[in-house]
Amino acid sequence: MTPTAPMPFLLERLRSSIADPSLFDDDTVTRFLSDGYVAACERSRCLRTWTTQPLTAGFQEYALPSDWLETLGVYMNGAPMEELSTRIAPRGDDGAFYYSYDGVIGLVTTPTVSSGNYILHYARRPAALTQSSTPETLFGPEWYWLMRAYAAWHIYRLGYGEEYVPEANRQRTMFDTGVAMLERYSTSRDEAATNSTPVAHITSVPSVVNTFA
Amino acid sequence: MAETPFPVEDQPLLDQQNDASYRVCADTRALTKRTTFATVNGQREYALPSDVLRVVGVSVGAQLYAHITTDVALRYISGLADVSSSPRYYVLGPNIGFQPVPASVVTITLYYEARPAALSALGTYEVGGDFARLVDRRANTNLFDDDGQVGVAAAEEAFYRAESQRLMRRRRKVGRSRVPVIGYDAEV
Repeated sequence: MTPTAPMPFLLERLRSSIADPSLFDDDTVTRFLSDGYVAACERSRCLRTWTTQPLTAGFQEYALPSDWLETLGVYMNGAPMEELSTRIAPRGDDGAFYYSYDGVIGLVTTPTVSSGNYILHYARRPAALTQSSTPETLFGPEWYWLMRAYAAWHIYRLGYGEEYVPEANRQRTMFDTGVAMLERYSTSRDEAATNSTPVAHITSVPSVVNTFA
Repeated sequence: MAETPFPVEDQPLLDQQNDASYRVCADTRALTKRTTFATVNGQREYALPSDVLRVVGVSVGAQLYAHITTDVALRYISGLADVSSSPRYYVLGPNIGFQPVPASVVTITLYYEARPAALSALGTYEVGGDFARLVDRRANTNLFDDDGQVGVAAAEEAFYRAESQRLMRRRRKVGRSRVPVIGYDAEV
């Protein structure tokens, strides 16, 4: 005997309890589950990665990755860059600053030579799920209950009467609490604060190393 | 009077137990596992095994590798000069990386909190004792929820939360009682 695949299992759980087929067809319930997955990943920022972007002389702005959700950090020449607000960026301050809006990252100081690169550490947006797909590894099976809670919240909210509002709220609270747990888990997974070693010499490194000469 | 068996067929019960088993192991950190893999000359990052929940230690023989945060790791990756010769590791998303970049083939031992393997038969959990009992209670909570017994499910949910936290505290107490390692534990 082998366990049922995640989406059919979650669909069956909802079908056997609250998702009346006359009110919600399979595609709708699948969309609720997928929306729960995407919402949990986006709110917790549990899908984290980094990428390298080569610099090009004369180019100030670089496109963000298509799955970009939120910038967690930008690094160049061994140091983190500082983000400037959209309002201040046009002032053209000299230094390791960047700005980000409208699908691009802009370096406040435009590179004058085509060498070097910057590193973008960012949270990713997941692809929507279908009935036959499986969530990403970083959203493991221990978190699938979040999708069920999210879908149940919406089914109670849309398909049941006022007397079920408390149950809809209970499902929503479970989802919210679970997402907060997922966010704490994802952060501690990468940062492992319990045994990280302080790196004393980092503090002596200049905060800005200019390669735009 | 003999108890009436809970009227759940094998496959749905296996699915619920499987789901509960994953959740209990993540919420209580009940399983710790070990594996080894070899580094490659010039390769910084390696995919973690698919059952890793959280890396708790890395060593090569008796040498413990220290952990660095992603912020420190990305400074090195982006060009910060490394004045230390001791090897360190970081975890970023689904990968584990090393600083400095391995220059030779080294067998790394990885200690990690793990998610259990998928069940192939009812009740064959990888954990025992209080943890196994909690898996059963968690599966029952799901079944009450799916059966529309929302009041019972809510009460079971509250029990689960309290019990998983108690088991987690017990795990942490055991973890703290070990001897600190000079040069590895930040507080030493």
